[in-house]
Amino acid sequence: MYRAPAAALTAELFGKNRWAIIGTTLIPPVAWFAGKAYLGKLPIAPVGAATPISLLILMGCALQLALIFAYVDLTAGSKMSGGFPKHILLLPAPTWLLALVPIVAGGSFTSGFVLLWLHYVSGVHFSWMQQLIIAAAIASLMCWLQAMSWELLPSRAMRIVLLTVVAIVAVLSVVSLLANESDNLFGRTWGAVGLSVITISGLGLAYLAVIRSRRGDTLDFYVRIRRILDSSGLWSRNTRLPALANGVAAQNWYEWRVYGRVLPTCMIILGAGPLASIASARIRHSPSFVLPALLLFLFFLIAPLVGGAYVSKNLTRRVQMGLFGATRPLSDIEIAFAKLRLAVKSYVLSLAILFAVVVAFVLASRNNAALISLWSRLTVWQGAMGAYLSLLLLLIVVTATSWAAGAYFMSLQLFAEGVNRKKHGWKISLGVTALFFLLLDIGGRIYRARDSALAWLQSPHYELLIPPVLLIAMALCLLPRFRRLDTLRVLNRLASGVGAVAALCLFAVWQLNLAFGYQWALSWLVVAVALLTFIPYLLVPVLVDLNRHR
Amino acid sequence: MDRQIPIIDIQHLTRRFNGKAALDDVTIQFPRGHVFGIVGENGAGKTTLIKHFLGLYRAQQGSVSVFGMDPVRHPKEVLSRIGYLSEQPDFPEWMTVAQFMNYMGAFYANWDAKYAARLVEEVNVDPNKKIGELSKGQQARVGLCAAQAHRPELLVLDEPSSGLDPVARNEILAAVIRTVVEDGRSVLLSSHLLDEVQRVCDHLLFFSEGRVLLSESMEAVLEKHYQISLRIAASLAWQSLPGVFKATQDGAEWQLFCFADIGQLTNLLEQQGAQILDQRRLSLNEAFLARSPQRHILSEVA
Repeated sequence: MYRAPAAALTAELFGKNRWAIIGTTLIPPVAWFAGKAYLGKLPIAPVGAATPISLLILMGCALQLALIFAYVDLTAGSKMSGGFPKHILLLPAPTWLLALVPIVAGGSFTSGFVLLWLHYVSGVHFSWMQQLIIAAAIASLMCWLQAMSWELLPSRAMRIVLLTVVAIVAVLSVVSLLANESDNLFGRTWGAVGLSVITISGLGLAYLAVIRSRRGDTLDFYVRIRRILDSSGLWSRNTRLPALANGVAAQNWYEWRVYGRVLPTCMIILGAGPLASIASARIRHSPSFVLPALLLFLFFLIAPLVGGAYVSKNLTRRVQMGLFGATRPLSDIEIAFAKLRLAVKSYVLSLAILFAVVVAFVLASRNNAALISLWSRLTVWQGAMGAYLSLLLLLIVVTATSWAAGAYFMSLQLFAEGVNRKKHGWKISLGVTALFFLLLDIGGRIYRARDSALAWLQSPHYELLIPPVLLIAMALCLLPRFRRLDTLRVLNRLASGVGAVAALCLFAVWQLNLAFGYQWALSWLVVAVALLTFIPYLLVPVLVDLNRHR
Repeated sequence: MDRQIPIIDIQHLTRRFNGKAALDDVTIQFPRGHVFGIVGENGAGKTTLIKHFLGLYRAQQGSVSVFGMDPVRHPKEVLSRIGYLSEQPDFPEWMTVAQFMNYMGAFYANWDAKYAARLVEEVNVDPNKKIGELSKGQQARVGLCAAQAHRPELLVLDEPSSGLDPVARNEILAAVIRTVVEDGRSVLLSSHLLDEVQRVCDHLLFFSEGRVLLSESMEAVLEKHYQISLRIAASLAWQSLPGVFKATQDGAEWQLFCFADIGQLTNLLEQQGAQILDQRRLSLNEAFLARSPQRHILSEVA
């Protein structure tokens, strides 16, 4: 029996989430040991690679812990209370206590976890003051997470954007406070002010949100604002009816409205940092290519992961091929291609946003010396035309691979749903993980044996015909199904498009000033990427068919 | 449209889930211009049957034909002629009612925007409200408007009034009647609420454990279902009696539940030496309970 309400509430918080907390706290040590055992053996792994990766994992786990304690479900819709135990609102406990318990419990546990890990495993030693600053930053974010979890803002997009902005400001404030130079980024004074403002405003909002939850809609700002907007006639929902010519247009609109904006929004949020830094003279002393390269890397990392979100907005929930989706009077191929069109459109728009940011950043930067030097070296090596071609080739190959990875993730989601995820989900997860490590291992082996691999590639190898033969066999097996789906005409057009781009890439490869073996290898890479890009167009219609007609 | 082709033609349809038959050799034909009621206990196979002719389930054995087409091979052609409302409609909650009707209208060539607007007005729902902000009853009403606005040849209502208030239920029944009155279109209503089924349906299907127990006109169902109380000294081979589907015994007294020509049956029983104590016509509710395989319900009836 607990003697104080705070103890009872804290015990419930830990008890309800014990497995999630244990699981999350175990991830960094497991990843650390795995990294020690595996990454160290890879020849491509730079010295000390395990440290930034483990730091990244630690940050992810800290965020996850904070989310667990705050009961935040950022993907939830307007009825967004997530998993919060609403019964506690009826307990005879003061409102401030209800707001404070998750913040204190989550903040102290997460801070303790992060600081202990940094101190004992990563070997990063902070002074007491610095540790206090980190703990304060985590607690300030907990306040905001808590505020967002209490139905303060019914709009999911607003919540995510607001939280992201607050998180960026908090991180920059902490970096300003922790830096050795007093004028780094915001400077120490403004860093402290920033962190204090975030903490106080977060606490206030969390308290306000609990009041709102307890008293119903007495403080429903959102509804009030909407009423004012509605009455002013400035914003009417009626005026936003899209002109939908037919079912396919309607489905495209629906898909875009539900799933399409995730990746571009991520890119806008990601791009906001560099754009903001353009206005600031403080960080222009770093070479201009570092931030754009980091942005592109993040994009090619995030974009495939968003592939799953093209099928299910909330990855933990059912794929939206429910009754409503499945009973639209559309053919399977129309549904499948609406998905694929959405994926391409979302991807291309995101890439365009990112390139706009990168170009703006590079143009605004006063320190492009490193970039110009890189370009000069490339021009000297490949000639002007070769440099442009190699850039184009790199862009196409990386973009296509990243898009295809997203499409496979989407296919995997569809497949998992088609074969009863509840029953076979763990097998699929295990299989995909095993495949991932297998591919990583093969990549490592090829890299280690690259010289002999290149020599091997220069002599004729008829076994290399096996993949295209397998592909043709697969196409022949699927032919009757595609004929039934009336897909062949569309697929033929798509194959021609992909083939044309692949031919352009092959032309570029053979124009480059490279050793014959490298040209061979690059050619095969282009062919493989072309196939990888095209295969989703074969897979997704079949998977939609599988999901729709069980 | 060819009025000779049955609107739905199901032949020897069998569907199994984990080895258990949800539908077992079902053969039914639905002619045009009728209101069909499907009744059966939970898990009888009603929704499974409906999902087959919506093309959401592939026939494992047998065949399904809707408007003369396979709904799996031709989902677009079949679904564009059907209006469908399910028990738990998973409409996009983020759309306003107006957006939703606009969105739905794009799929159907026959969509009548004025008719749709009139229907929404009639059900008294604010078109500027988001679907997620509506109550369950209001959502069902909106779904019903969307299912009707393209004047479908077949309106399929899968337990549409479960959990709804009487006003919303009445509106659904009104929609069924309206659909039938206009152009003699067809309706298929699956429901637990037998009084509703009795009010609007002219043909009834009793489903139990994946089998069609009875497919008859509503008139025949109400006319021919009887409970007979009798006394007989000798043993009674009730299974061989025409139309008798259930019997309970208490010593020499028997209760027989039958779907038959009552005159012929009582004559036959009297010839076998039975003394008829009482005979009464069963209501639809009683007939449903009597046909239910669950014994505790039967004992209540008896």
